[in-house]
Amino acid sequence: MRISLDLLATLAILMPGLSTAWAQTPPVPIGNDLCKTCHVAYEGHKVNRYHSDCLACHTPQDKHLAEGGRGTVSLPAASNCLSCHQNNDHKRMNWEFSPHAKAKLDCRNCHGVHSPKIKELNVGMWKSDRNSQLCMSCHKDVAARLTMPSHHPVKEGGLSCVSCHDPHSGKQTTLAGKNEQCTKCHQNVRGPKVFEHAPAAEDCTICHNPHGSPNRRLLQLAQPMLCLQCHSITRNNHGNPPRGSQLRGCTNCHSAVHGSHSDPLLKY
Amino acid sequence: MKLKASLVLTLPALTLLAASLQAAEPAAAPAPPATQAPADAAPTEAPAVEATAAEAPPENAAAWDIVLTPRLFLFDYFDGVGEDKTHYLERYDYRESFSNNDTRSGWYADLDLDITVSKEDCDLFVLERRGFGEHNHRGSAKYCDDALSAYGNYSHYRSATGGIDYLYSPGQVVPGGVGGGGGVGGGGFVNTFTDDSGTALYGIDRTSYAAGFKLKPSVLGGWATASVDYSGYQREGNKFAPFLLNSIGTPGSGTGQQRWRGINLAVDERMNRIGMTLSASPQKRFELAYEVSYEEFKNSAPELQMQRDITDPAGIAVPNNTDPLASLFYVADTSLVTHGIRFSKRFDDRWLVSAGYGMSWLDQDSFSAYETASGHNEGKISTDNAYLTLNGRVSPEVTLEGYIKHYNHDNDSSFGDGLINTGTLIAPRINSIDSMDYGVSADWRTDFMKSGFTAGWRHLDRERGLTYGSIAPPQSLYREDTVSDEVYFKWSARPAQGWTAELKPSYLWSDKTGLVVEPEEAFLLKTKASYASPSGWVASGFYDYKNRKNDNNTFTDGDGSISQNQSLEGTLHSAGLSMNYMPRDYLNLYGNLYWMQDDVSNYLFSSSVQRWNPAVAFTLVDEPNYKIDSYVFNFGGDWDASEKLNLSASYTYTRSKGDVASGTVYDQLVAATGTIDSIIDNTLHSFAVGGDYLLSEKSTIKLNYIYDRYNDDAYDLLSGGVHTLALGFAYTMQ
Repeated sequence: MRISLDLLATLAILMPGLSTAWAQTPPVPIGNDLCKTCHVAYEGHKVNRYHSDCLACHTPQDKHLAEGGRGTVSLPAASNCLSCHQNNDHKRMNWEFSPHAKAKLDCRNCHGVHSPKIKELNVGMWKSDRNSQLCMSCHKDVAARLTMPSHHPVKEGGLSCVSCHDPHSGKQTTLAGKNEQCTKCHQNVRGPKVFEHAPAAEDCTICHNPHGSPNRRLLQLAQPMLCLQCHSITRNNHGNPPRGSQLRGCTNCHSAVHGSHSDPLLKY
Repeated sequence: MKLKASLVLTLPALTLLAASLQAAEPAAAPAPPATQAPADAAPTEAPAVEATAAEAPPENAAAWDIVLTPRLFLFDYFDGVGEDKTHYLERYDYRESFSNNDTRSGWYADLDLDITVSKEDCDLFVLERRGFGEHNHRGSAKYCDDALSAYGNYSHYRSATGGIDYLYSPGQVVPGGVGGGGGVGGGGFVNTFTDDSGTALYGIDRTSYAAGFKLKPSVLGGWATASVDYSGYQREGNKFAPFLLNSIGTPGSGTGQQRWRGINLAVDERMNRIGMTLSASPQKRFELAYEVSYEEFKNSAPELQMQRDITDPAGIAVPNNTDPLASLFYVADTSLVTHGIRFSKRFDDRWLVSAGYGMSWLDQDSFSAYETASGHNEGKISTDNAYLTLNGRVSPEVTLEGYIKHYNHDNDSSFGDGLINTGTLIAPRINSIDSMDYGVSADWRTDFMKSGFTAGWRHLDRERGLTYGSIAPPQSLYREDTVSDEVYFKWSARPAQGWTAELKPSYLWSDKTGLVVEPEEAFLLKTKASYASPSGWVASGFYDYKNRKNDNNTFTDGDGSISQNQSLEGTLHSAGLSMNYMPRDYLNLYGNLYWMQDDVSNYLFSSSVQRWNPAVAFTLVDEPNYKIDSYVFNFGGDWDASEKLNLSASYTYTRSKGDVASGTVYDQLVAATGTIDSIIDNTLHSFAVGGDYLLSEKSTIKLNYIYDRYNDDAYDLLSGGVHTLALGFAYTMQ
């Protein structure tokens, strides 16, 4: 997709012409006007006024002025951006401990300062939001999961990656329990329940893959195998061994699988 | 009319924020003095940025940019089930024609809306709405100036996955609800399924909404921000709900055959949450944030009681020997209060400390008649969380990190003898979960292939407070303790211009596992590589391997004389290859290939009597195996064919295939329903092509065509396809 090549495209746009323009003695001081004599692609781009000074984020080397080319001008690191954007911002105060930071990503990898990172939505993802498209440009495995027979409707526009994930923080610095990420939307299963089901109380992802699955209801495995992992010996009134149509789906009978207010066997 | 209805949630946000814009306009965006913080930030130490603030352009008039895009959608489902059932491709994409409410073929209209108000190169107000019909639309609005930012958004989405559940229900699949039932002699509890659901179609609408504002440092002394956030949703519809009655009638007899039921269950839920956050950075010495929120969840669906509401089509009254007041699928009203405080501080630009503490109280606000009658009148779960992390750069090449995290979950609900006693309690009651997680890692950067090496260790210690009932601890596979250690290593490098590579193996071992699905031993390997060529193409690939096994957990018979361990092993392979090629700045091509194989086996036992009796003979029946392969292949491109014409196309192929189980379980599933439940074998083709043509400076015509075709060789009833054509006309006003 276009988005995944954004940085490359930017660099490709930057390279041609640099050598010719700055090979000559600059007729004007180094600044926006001079930059835009070569970087014509940025002429007319609307940017926030606090981002409108090229030299606030870029430091050209002499070689850049003389010859141009990749690697001869600094691009802003995350620390440059955070010098303004981390102060008084609880969402970014733990950026350094996020998986994105540990993967050595910088803000510019996701945020387009000069123009939006996602310029156009490909028709195959036309209902999804731009944030999700951006995430999927790197997280290809998740993108594939989101097309499986059962999935959270991200591609359909029902929700966004950022509905669940905070790209500026990580598990190490979250104050929410494992299930609280799910039950902030799925309150109906969070309890308190009189009769609990241990995996539902401990970790939703024991049974569900939130991105997508070949099995119905986002289940990690199809029934009955999902249940037989722990319930390897069923009560003998299921048959000896369990058999027949009851093996089709344990939740056809034990449907209150997230816990029940009435039945210890979670049948309703 | 439907379009009006779908817009109704957008307009209040527009009105609210437009009013806010009007109010703010006279004073909007004053050029900050050179010494004042820009926008939402304290002054930066970078001189260049200060210069930016000083050079802010003078105030000028706001510019409006409005794009209206009405769209007409035409759709036609082909093959598959009729309107009386849920079409497979309808589960995440429910449509309804404007002309006659036809859900299989017809037309509908919607409106996309984009409004941007800019001032001094800054977007003061942005409103966006995207509509894909009455059952899938969303909108957002945001306002931002130097003193205040505000936002509002909503989304409305219908899911019909419950209809697919119904198609798999015992009543729909013959002989899936008949015969082969339970009981020692068979033909017992699940001998016959009674479908009381009528001819309902299943769907749930979720309408989410949120709004909030943030006061920026410029109004809070330059060192703090305060924000208020509201969010909520309404969830309405119905779902298919099967259940099993207790000991009614005689197994195998007419009354016994009425035990297994399925009903049309109403869903009517609302959630409202309000929160406030204060963030401060006093003199930029440290960062501090405090968050508090209150949330109410209300269920307005009527309570279903066993004796009052469950009718018997055969005229067999639900007898009183079961629980006459027992509620079916009761969903309680709840409220949740959360607090959290976070702190972070940097020392000498080399060390970073971050800490946080949070707590929550979840209360049950309504109780079923059954709970009330049984003396259960308090439902309360509280949690405590805390973390401390430390990151230090001990040299230019070496960074150390350590963390410790604590999580505590307490269930302080009442424990009435009338409801929860050791006689009725089958699975253990979870009174508490106390978890301590800590680890250290070291990161070393070297010039050798521009590499980074990370080595780390982490430890998890989780204790559960459990109350066991009629099944004593040795007879249960659920245990009180989980103790595990994990070591990992990561190598990431840029070995040559344009190349990246990453390798991350890890190994986990556990002396105690609380759940069988927790690994006693796990080996993970993650690998990936990418190459970006100067000529405009990028290729990347990954391969991940995960193997987990557990033989830790054992169970015994009633007197502990016979012990048996449960064995589980699972292996997950996943691999992907992606390519992007951008030969010209007007053409971009891409392709992605993904494969995943999930392979899980575990023991299956049987016993001739209830397994918690003394001297039970456990029989190892089989070691059934779940093995499913999934493939996703996707390619497409975007082409700016001319200054006026943009084209875009995409094709996605998704396939899942394999056996749900092997051996005895597989044979029983085949006997019950043939291929429907024993295998997974389906293919989805999705082809989309679209284009935008610039008719004039202010108008663009947009056309998209999407073809989806689903084939299910395990359950042919689900197969079918749909054509969609969307025609839009975008008009720009400035």
